[in-house]
Amino acid sequence: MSIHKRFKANTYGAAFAALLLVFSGNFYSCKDDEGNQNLCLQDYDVKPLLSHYSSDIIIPAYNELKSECTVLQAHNDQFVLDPTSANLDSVQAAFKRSYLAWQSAAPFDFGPAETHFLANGLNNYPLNVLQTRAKIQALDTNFSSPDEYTKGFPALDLLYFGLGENDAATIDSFNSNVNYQRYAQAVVNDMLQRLEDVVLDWQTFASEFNNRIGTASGEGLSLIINGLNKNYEEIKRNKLGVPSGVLSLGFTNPTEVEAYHSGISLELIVRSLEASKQVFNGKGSNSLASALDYIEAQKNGDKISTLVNEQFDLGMASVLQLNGRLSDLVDTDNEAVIKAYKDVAEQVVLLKSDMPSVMCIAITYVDNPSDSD
Amino acid sequence: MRKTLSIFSLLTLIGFGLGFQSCTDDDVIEPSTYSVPSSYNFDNVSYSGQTQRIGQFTELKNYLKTANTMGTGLDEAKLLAMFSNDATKAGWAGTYEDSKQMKNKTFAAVQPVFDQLLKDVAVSSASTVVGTDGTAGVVNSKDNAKSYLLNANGLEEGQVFEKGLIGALLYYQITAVYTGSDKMDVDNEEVIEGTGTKMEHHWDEAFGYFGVPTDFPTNTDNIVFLGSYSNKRNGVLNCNKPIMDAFLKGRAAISNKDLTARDEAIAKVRMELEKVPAGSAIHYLNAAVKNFDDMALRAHALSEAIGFIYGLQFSPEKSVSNAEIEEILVKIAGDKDFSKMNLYNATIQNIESARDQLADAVSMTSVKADL
Repeated sequence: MSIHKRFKANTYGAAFAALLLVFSGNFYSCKDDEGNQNLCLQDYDVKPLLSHYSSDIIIPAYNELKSECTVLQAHNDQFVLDPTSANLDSVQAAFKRSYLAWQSAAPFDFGPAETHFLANGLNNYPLNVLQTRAKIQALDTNFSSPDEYTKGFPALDLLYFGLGENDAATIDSFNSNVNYQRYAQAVVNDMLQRLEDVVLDWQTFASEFNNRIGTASGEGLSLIINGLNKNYEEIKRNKLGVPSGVLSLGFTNPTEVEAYHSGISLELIVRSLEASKQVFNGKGSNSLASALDYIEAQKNGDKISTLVNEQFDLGMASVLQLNGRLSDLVDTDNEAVIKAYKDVAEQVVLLKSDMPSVMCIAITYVDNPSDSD
Repeated sequence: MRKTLSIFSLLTLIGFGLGFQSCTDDDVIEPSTYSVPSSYNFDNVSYSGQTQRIGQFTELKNYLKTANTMGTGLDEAKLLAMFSNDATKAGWAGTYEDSKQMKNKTFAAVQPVFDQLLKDVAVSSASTVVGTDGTAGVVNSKDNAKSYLLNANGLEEGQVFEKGLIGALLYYQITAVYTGSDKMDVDNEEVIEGTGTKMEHHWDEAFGYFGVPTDFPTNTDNIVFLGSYSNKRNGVLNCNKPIMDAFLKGRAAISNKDLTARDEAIAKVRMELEKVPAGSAIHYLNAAVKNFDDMALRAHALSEAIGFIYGLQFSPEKSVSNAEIEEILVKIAGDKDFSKMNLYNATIQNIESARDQLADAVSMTSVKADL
């Protein structure tokens, strides 16, 4: 009964997805595919591709992030113990490096990361400042709810950069109120704990992942392609779309940028685009790009892999045109921000429709609808 | 839950794929197999929430107008309570459900702007002297037939509130919310007695904000807000029937599962409805030029125009960008913020320039002089 209802409720969305798939013009044939070799990829061997992603891209991304966050924890401990200007500089620098490293791990929100709510735990933004301040005041350091926007990098962004006018004010706050110290420590500990759990779980998950060579939801290729797309759409929507107001009738939302207080939004976007491009190209062969080339996937006479890479470069070029703080730019030069948004968004057709359809992968994640009522 | 959904999406995908390649008798409904009625008489139509909000809006508008009589102060707490339906302080004449309020349906980013206008008009209304440049108060027209409460800069805050809220609430709810994807990409199978399918209901709620009877424009009794201004502009713009037809066509399309026609109707509603605030703004800019030397009439007309122009921002398919709207407002009143606008300093040249820019943007250049 409830399944029936659910089916009806989603008919429209599914039909739309089906149309996308069909219209892309390269739909090969249908098959039941639980666990079998992906026939769309002909005799392309998926197994080395999955091994390449797990051992050369995903696990290294987590390891780098974990190592940066371990350094962050050490600097945070140091700053909390001794809130000096030099120690604040160090923890701010460690924060930026960790936040950048996160962008490379963000596309893999499946398996262990999903189990431990890594994305929600590390980067729910924009921060709910009121609730965060209330939690600091009450020294409430329970971060178990994935739906709370009071933790992770956005909370540290406030604590290290947003407590007052300048660094001196931040140091004053940490000196005068022990709650800031404890909250910062609890936030960093929570982040690192999740990360350690994810890294540990990947040690066993990897072999399972490498053997999931089919096309169904939950198979390796499906996880990679869905993860890449979900993260890419978040870059498009949350990092650029929401601040620039393209989703809110042109009313800009400067405070909703990622990393509002530290002002490193644009660096994070650049890194996240680089990361997306690397997920597509891998490091060498056995990548999504090489699989597409193997089956000679084309669109209007051009290789899809070439089109995707050209579009990545175009999006990146537009983002690199932007200078300064994104939160200022949306009010001073929003046309340039909207151009970047459009150039980044243009890629979605290729990544979300053309590529999955020729590879017989269904897009199964649910895109967050805008929060309007 | 996530799993269930994924499997279904996939099965549907594959099903559709097969259907497309070979085969099966898909029951595609031809648009010609259903008829569109000439009035909004469909099964299971309900939009009582919209009717209630329009009722509240009417009461608030009428209360604001009492301040046009010198010495009548407005109660700020009552104004704010009416906007957010705090029934104990609002003192409503009508009966409204607690959950129905105007404020939380107003475009979120500008709710504080409207709160501020209410606070400001309450302050202006405390004046007991005649309004002049630099002093808030009631100003009479030269023939003493009309009187309006203007702030120290000549802005009639009550008019800006009313005409602006037509945009940020009614027009926004129709064009951006109820015909938007969140409210339209929903179930259209399960019919609930009294309200129809979810999609039908959302469409009916969009229609409910138009403020017209079901047999509009044949019947123009009790038309309010957008409906009323559509009718006022109908002589020049012929907008009544196209707007109504788009609502009728969309509802019939939804009830007959014709989503292509529904999408055409959405585009049509947005396009036709924009003519109402745009045409009204041009009309009031013309009126301001005509009565330029009569401050009460000039300020009243400009304040209405300002509210309507501001309201054009709230459609997802607007002909004028927000930046352009700001430009036009600056031409008229020297600033884009209501609190910094000044109508004593307005010039005929600037008003005409604003009118021409707006008319050009909304493709009304050929009729701008007639509005």
